[in-house]
Amino acid sequence: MGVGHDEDFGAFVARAWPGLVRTAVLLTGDITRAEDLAQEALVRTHRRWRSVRRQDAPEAYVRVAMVNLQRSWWRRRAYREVLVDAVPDRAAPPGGFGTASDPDEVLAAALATLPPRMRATLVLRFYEDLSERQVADALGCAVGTVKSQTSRGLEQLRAALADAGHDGSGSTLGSATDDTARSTS
Amino acid sequence: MSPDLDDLDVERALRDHLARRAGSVDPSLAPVALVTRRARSRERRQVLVAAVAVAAVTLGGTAVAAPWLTGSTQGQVATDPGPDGRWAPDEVPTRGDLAEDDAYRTRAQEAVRERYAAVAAAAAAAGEPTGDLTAPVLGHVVFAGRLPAGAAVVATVKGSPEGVVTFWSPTGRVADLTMQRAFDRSYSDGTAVDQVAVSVGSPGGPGYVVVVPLRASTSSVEVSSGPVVGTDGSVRRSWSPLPLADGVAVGRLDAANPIQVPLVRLDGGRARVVAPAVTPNTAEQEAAFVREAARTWGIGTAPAEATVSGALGEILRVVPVGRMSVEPVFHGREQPSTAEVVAGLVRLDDGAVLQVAGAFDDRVGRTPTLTTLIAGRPVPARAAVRTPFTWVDDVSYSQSGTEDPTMRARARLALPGAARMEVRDVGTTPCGPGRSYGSADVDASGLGTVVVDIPSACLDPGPADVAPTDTYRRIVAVALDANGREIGRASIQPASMSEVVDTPDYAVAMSPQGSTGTGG
Repeated sequence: MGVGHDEDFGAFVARAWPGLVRTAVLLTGDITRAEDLAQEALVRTHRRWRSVRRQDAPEAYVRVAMVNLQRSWWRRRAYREVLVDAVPDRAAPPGGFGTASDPDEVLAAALATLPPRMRATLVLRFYEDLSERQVADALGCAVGTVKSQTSRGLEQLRAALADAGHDGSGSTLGSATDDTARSTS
Repeated sequence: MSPDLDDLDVERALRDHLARRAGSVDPSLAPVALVTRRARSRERRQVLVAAVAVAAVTLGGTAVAAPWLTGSTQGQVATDPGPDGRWAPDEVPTRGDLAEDDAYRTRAQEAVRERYAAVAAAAAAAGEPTGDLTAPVLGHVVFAGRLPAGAAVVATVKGSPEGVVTFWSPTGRVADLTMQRAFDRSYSDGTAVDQVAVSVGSPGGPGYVVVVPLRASTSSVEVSSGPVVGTDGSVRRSWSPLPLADGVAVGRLDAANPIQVPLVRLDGGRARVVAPAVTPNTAEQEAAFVREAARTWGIGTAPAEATVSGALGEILRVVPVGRMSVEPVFHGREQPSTAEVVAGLVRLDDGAVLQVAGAFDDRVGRTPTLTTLIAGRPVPARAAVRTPFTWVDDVSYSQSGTEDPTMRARARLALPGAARMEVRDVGTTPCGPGRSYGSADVDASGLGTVVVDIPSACLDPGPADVAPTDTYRRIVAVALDANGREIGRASIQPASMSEVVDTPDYAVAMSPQGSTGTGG
């Protein structure tokens, strides 16, 4: 691997980085961790760049690496505390504390509690718009597993929304504004 | 759950949420230079170049001639290596005298299913989620052959994990073949592999190294059974040739060396870790050793057996119980996690001393988690009691929005009698703005904690030592007494920041701890 290899790889990193980080945020729920995850996946991709670059969508390779890494990190996260510069203030939900949160917050919180593979399944299906077959390939599992993970994941989200009072009868579901779509990082 | 919300509602809400959440992210500049530098650095480091003296010690006392491996490979599909002269692991012709015996392959597939069914059942019984567990499917048999003390099958596997799986039959009979271990595909560090190398055998019995080169041109195979730790904390290795016959090399692990962490190298090239499927102790021996150690720890209240097993788990996989004793040194609790921590010294029968430490987080409402903090770090025997136990956790690499791969970490130090700790750069010239990166009082038990930001320039670029991932050996944690005098020091070094493979923990046991003042 020489200079040309690195230049080619560098160009790929520059091009793919924003999209990878966005996906990683959805996988991790945290911008700092997402950047770490994308970076680590790219470091690992570098070793195999010669073969990865020949693929139609090298981003897909990195995405799979991110999903797998995230699952590994998740397994080991329980013991470690998370270092942050400062504890962020939490904005009051519409109507003040003690009322149902906005659906974005409910979904963000519910997603954070899902097992990593289930969360990855939902992100790949509904953000990356991958087919069930593509998700199965990315996660290294059967299509049936993707179906069941998707179904169970949606069920948990639905329960969380219902618990928070978003039962489909009101207008809040799916109508959150940009103001409420703030980063949880 | 509300009957009023259907799947489409939830799906639509989720799609909207994900799009908004992703759209709100403002990624930092692409860290092109950083990623490339880290990749290069890690690739150099993972060379696993072992140390200095290369005394010609024959593996196991004898270079094992392998008449039992001279079975023909005729009848297999003749697969040519790729354009680079190398086979992929799942394409190399099956090696070994049982290569044509389908019964072993069939039994191996059954054994995989049995093992994972048992694991899944145990997880379910314990109320743990099994969603992440995908039963692997046997891929390609790389090796199937008889050895002096049994028979082994080595195969690629697809699923979770994806990589290489080993099987062992202590009697050599196909019916007795059971799955030993599965190794993630990064077992050989993730780069394009030149060999499949594993150790196999009965726990506590003789272990064998099986090496299948993947380059057709490979002409020599050398193996080192394990690091030899000196009483001064130094580490060296010796290498011995293995005869290569019919595309496979096999040797017996050297029982004279107390530490069994074999490495392999082909054609005098880079050393690689041999995936360790065999351990020097049986499960019963390990359990008894841990139980006794926990019983005699004797510092304050008795530590949980689980915590002691966290400290000793790695060392028990590489050192026979009859060749080591444990000297408890520390027992306390980390903050803010409140995880119980034990640390101690393992003294080998050849005079070498290794540090071990483990933690057990048993907070109510969380999944109990066991962590090996120090797997077996060599220290000079004479200074062992004064050498602090150091580790880091919560490592994060980059500062968001910058190109600087600062390592932010929580540095820990444990040493009874210490009053204060300081994290310092002891390189010849400073690698950052100053020498001191932070200091803190040590609690009554002897445990100190300080959060530090270490610049990338402090990363140790040297390829000479065995180091698992990026290391900062020039950054040390110093233990100070009540008068501010130094008691001892040790480098802070993440044991395994990102790799979830067997390599790092074992490799830690090969990283000298005594020579930290060499940066610059």
